[in-house]
Amino acid sequence: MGSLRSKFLIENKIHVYRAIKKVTQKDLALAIGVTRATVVALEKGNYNPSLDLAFRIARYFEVDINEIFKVKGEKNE
Amino acid sequence: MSKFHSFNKFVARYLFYFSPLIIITLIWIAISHPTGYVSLKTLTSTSVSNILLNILGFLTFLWVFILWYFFSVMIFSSKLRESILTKLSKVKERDEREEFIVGRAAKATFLSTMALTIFMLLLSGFNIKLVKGKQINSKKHISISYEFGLLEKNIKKPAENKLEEILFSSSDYSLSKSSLLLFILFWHLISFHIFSYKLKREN
Repeated sequence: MGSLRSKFLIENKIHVYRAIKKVTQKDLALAIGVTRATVVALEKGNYNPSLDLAFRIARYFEVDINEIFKVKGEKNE
Repeated sequence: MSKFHSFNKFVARYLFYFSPLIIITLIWIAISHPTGYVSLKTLTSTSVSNILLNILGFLTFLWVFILWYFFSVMIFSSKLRESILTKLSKVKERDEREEFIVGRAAKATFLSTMALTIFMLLLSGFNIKLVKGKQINSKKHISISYEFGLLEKNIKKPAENKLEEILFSSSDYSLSKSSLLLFILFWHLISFHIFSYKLKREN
């Protein structure tokens, strides 16, 4: 079964910014228009968001997109 | 187009909410008329139960007729398919991740159903028989034949050999058309949910 992971190793700091802003996963999910399961998958690094969703997350935390998402390299598959 | 869609939604509601009544009617007819036929005497009778049976029978007829209409419209109307079948098959696409999962699961399901259909197509044409001659000391042997016809009536059955006794024939265990379609439908639905469940766990 194929995975949803992309070829890039993308690290995100969603959990860090969530802790700073003191919001729950549910609140964040509601604010950016996704399910809580998606927020969990994003924080675990199991799912890379679309550009649209990445911008929505950055806008919600009022930071630059590069502050939250960083490409750490490519996966060897 | 929207009027057509709202009419179909009304039809869907009618089919759904009337289904318990139809089931009750069918059970009642099955119990009161075990032969499966309602006689003209019953239909013209003026007793309360028979008048009620007449009304329910008419409603059942109407329900079945509308059911045919509804599912034939569903073949051509993508909007109706989307609104009804996604609910019936419990497909969830609440955000982009779920849309992605549904897409991947749909692809995996399409391929698995295709593999199953190809396998069944091959299996449906072949008939394997275990045959034994009726003479003393005759040995058992296996025969394989292939039959294919666009229509059921076009399939020619091989002539019966009176000197041979058929011990086993795979065609005796072939599924009926309705059960085969039901099997493919369940396969399609169950495999989709298994694939999407697996993908959700992985991601």
